[in-house]
Amino acid sequence: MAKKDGRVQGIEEQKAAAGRITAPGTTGRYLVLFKQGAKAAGVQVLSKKAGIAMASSTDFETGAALGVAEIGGDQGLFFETLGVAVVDTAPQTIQSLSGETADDSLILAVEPERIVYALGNPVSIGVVVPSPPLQNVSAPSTADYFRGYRDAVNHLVDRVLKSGGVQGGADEALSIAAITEAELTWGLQVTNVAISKFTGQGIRVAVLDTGLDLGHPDFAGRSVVSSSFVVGEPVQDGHGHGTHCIGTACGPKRPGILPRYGIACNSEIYAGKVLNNSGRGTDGSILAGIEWAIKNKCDVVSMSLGAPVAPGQAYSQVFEQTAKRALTAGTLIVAAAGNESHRPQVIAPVGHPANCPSIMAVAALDSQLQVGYFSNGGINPQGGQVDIAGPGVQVRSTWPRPTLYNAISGTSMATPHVAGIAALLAEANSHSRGAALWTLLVRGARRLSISSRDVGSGLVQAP
Amino acid sequence: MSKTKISVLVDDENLHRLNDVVKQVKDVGMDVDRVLESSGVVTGSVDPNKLKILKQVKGVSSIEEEREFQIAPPGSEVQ
Repeated sequence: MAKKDGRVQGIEEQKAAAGRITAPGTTGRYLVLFKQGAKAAGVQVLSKKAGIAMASSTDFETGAALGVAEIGGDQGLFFETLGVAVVDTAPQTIQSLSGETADDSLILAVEPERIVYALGNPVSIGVVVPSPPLQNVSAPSTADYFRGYRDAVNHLVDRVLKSGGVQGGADEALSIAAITEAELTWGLQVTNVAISKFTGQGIRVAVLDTGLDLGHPDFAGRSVVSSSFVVGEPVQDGHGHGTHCIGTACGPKRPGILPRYGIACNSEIYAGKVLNNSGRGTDGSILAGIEWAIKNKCDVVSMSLGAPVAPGQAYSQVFEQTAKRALTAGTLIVAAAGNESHRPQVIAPVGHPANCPSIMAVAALDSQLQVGYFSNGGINPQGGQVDIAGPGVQVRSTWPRPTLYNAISGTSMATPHVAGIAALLAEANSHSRGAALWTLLVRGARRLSISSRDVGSGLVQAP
Repeated sequence: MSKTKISVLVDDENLHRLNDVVKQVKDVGMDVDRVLESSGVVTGSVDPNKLKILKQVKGVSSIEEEREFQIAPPGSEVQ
C-alpha cells in the first residue's frame, strides 16, 4: 500500500512520486482482461512473468473498493467475478503483456485505466472529450480547468480536421447529392439493401392493407398466401396502396422494369386485406388480420395504416395487449407513425395503433435524410413514440395493372422498408423473433442528428 | 338504440377460458362477430346501455369502441 505521512496516496501522487509520465485522462495503471475460464492461469502469468504481486477481490472484507486505492508499484488486484485485473506496473511490462494477446492466449486485452467523471458537471454532459491535461495533482482552479478543457478540445478538433477525417456533417456523407435510380430506388441505397446477402428466405411477411394485385407480373412465381377480412370484397387490390407496400417489403430482385424497389425478395408473402378498395378499414378487420398473421406464424406484420389521435390521448389497450401477445408468439408488428403533420408548423402525435409501445412506429425520411413534412412525431408522453425511420418520400414500387409502378410518399412507404429489413434480419438471426428482432432493428439503425422524437433510433439498415 | 361496435380484450388470467368469456358476453347481449384466440380479443357490437355490465364480466380487461381507418385516395401524393 502506498502511504505518505500516514495517508494513503492518490494514484496521481504515486505516479508523480515514481517519476512516471501518464497520458492525460489516465491513471498510469492498466486493466487486464482474462479469457473466460482462464482466470487462474492468467493471474499466474501476471505474477510469474510480470512480477506483479496479485491480490484478489475476495481478500478484502469490505469488498474491493478499498483494495483498488491501495494498489501500489508492481501490485495488482484481481476482480474474481469480472475476470479483470487492475495492475500497477511499468509500461515496458505492459508492452510485453500486450504481446501476449494472441488468439489462444489467456489475456484478451490490456488497456490504460481511464479517469471518469460524474455527469451533471455542465462541461461533461453529452460530449466526449479528452480530459484536460493536469499540470499538477492538486485540484486546479475552475478557470484553469475550463482553459485546459478548451485547449484539449481545440487540439482534438485541429487534429481531426487536418487528417481529413470529417467532411461536413456525418449525415451528409450518408445522403445522396443527386438521386440516380437507374438500378436501385434511393430507399434501397440508403438502407444498404443491395449489398446485403439476405433475401428473407423462409421468412413470412404479412402486409395488412388494401390487398394485392395478384396478377402483377413482378409477383409471378412467388409464394403468396392471401385472405380478405373486408366483408364483400376479395383480396384483389382495387386501390393500389397494398400492392405498393407489398412491393417495397417483398418485391423481386430483378423486377420487370428497373430500378429494383423490393427488399425481402425471397420471403413468403401473406397479403391480408383489411382495408377496402376505398381505403377504409376498422379495428375489427385489422385485429382479424393480425390474428390471421399470428396463427400463420408470420414473423413480421406490416401495417401502413393509422387513425389520428389527439395530443395527450392514451393508446389502445386492446391493440397493445394484442401486440404484446404477438411478440411473445414471435410476431413483430410494424406500423406507420401517420401523416397528419405539416412540419415545421404542425407536428401531430403518432397515430393509432402505431402509438402502442409494443408496436414499432415508423417515421418517414426523404432522400436527403430529412424528416418528411407529413411525418408524425412522438409528442404524446404515454406511448406514442417514434421507434425508427425509413425511406418515405417519393418511393417507387409496384402498382396495380396496367400502371405497374408508381412513386408516392408517406409513413406508409417507410413502414414496409422496415418490415422487409426485419425479414432479412430474421433470416440472418434464426433465433431472434418478436422482441429480439425489434432489438436487432433498433440496434442496427443508423443514428442521425435528428431528434429521436422524430426518427426514433434512426434510419433502418439491412444486415 | 343502435348497437356500438366494440373490441373486447380478455386478460391474461382468463385467456385459458376464452370460450366461457365469449359465452358470458353473449349472454349479456353482445353480438359477437369474431373470436380472435391468439390475440385474446372478441369483436362485435352491443347496445351502449349494456357496456357497464359487459365490463364486469369476469375476464374482460378493456372494451374499446371501434375506430375507423381511412387512407388517402389512390391518386394522392401522400399516402
